[in-house]
Amino acid sequence: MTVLFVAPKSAWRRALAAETRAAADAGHRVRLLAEEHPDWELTPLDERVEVAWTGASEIRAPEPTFVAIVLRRIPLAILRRLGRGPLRGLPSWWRRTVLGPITRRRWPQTQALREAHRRAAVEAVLAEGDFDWLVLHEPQAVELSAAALPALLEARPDLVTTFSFETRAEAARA
Amino acid sequence: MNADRHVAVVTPWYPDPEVTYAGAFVRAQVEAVAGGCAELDVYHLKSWPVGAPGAPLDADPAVVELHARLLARSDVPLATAGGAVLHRVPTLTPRDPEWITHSDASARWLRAFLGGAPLKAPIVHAHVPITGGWAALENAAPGARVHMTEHSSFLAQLLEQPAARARYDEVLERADGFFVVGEPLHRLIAAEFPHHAGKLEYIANPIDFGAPRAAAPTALRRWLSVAALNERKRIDYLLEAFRRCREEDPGLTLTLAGDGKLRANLEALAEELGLSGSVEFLGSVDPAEVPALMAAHDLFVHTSRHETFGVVVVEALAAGTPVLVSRCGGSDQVLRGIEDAAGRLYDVDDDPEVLVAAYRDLRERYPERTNVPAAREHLRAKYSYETVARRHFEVWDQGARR
Repeated sequence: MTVLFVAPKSAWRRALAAETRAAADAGHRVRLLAEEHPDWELTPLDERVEVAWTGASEIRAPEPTFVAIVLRRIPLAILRRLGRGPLRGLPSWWRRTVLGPITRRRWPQTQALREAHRRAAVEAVLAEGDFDWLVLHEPQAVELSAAALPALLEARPDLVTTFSFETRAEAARA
Repeated sequence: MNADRHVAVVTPWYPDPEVTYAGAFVRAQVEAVAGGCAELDVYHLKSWPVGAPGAPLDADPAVVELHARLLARSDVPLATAGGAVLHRVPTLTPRDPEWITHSDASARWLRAFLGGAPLKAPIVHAHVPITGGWAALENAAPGARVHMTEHSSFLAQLLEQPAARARYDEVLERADGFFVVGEPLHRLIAAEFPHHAGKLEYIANPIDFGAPRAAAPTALRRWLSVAALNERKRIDYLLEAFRRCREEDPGLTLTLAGDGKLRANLEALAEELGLSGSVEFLGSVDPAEVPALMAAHDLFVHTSRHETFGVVVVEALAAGTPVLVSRCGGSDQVLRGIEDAAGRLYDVDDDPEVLVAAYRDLRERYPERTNVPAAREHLRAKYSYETVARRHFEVWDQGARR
C-alpha cells in the first residue's frame, strides 16, 4: 500500500520519524507532507520516506518599502560605517530596538500566510490521490484538510484513515 | 485470568511514539492487570488543540464535522502492554485554559469514536477524573461500574475554576469508586469536598521490582535525578547543592535524566557553576531504561517542591539504590517508617545547605546505618505489580458483586 502521512506543522517529529520508518519496514511505500525544521537533524527520517516539504517556514510577510529603505537599508549602511571600534555594536542595537518590534508586529501576517501555504500544500497532496492509506498525524492535519477531505472520503469509501501508524493488536497476537 | 472481567481504561495520558514517558504509570497499571482480565481495552484521549486561542471548539464546524467522521471510521485496535488493546482517540480541544471545555471535549469525542454506542465493558477505570473520568461516566453502559484514579499535580489550580469545580463535584458524586495515589491529593479533595471525603480511597501506581542491581553501591558518589526540567522540580537548587558537595569531594558526578523548558537555562547554570565536566544532561529517557539507569548510579536525589505520589523514589529503591528525597508530599508517604533504611529525607527549603547537610548525614551513615534491601522489601509488598493488580481486582470484583 501507499501510506501518506499528513503533518503540515510536523509538531511531533520524533513520532513521525518512528512511524514512517515502521510503515516502510512493513513494506509500504511511504509518503510524507512535512514542514522544515532544524530539529529534524535530531530525529532523521528514513531514506525510504518520500518527503514533500511545505516550505511554509520560509514565508514571511513582506516588509513595506518605506521600512525596507528608510528604516533598514539606509540606517544600517550608515551605522556599519560608523560602527567601528567601541561603536561596533551599533548595527545590532538598531536591529534589536528599531527593526525588532517592527518585524514582531508583522508576525500575525506571517502566521496567516504560512497557514494559507500549509493549507494549499495539504489540499494539493490530497488532490494527487496517489495513496491508499492516509495518516492524519496531528491536529493541523485535520484542520487544514477540512475543506478537501470530505469529498475524497465520499469518492473513496475504501480509503484507510488513521491518526498514527503503530503495531496493530492482531499483528502482535500473530 | 478471570473470564468475567471485561475492563475499559479511559485516560488522557498514555505513552505514544512522541512522548514515551507520558502516562507511563497508566501503562504500568494496564500491564499489571491485563493478565487477570478476559478483555482489556484502553481508550487514550490525547488532547489535540485546534483553532485560534480563546475560540470555542465549534468555531469551525467543518473541522468538527470532519473529525467526528474520521473518528468513526479510523479505529485501528493497537497492541499495548500485557496483551491489552489500545485505541487512540484524538480529542480536539479549544486553545483555552478552561478545564470544563476539555472535560466536555473528552466525553464528546469518545462518544463520536464509539459511534454513539456505550462502552461495552461492565467495568470502567478512568484516569484523571475531570477529563478521563467524565468521559467514562458519560459513555459507560447502563449498569456498568465506573472507577477512577486521580494523579493530577494541577488539581488545586483546576478547582479554582468554578465550572470545573462543579463538574468535579458531580464526578465525585457519580463515580462508583474514587481513588487517589497519595496523601496530598487525599487531603486536598477531602478539604474541598468534605461531603465526599468518605468516598476517597488509596490505590498505588505499580512499580517493577523485577531487576534489582547486582551489588549495593560502595560509596554515594554517582548521583542521579530523574525529573522534568521545570520549576517545580528545583534542578537549579540541586545544581547549587551538588556544587557545594563537590567542593568536598571532586569525584562526585550528577546525571540529570529528563527534559523540559528550563533545559537551556540549567545547562548554562551548570557551566556557570563550573560543573560542565561533572554534570550530564541525558534528556528524555524511555521508562523502560529507568531501572538500568537507577542501578548504574549510587544515589537517587529528588528535589521536587511538590509530588502527588513519588514513582521515581519507589523505582530507585526497587533497583536497590539509596535515596535522598525532599519532603514533597507523596514521597513522605511512600517512605513512612523506612526513612532511615532507605536513605534520607530533607525539608523543602530554598537554602541548598539543607540538601548538603542531608547528604553529609547520609554519607556518614551509609551503608552501616541504612538498610536498602529491607526498604525495598517493604515497598515491594505495597507497590509491586502483583500487589497493585490484586487491589484493582478486589475493587472491580467487589463492585460487580453489589
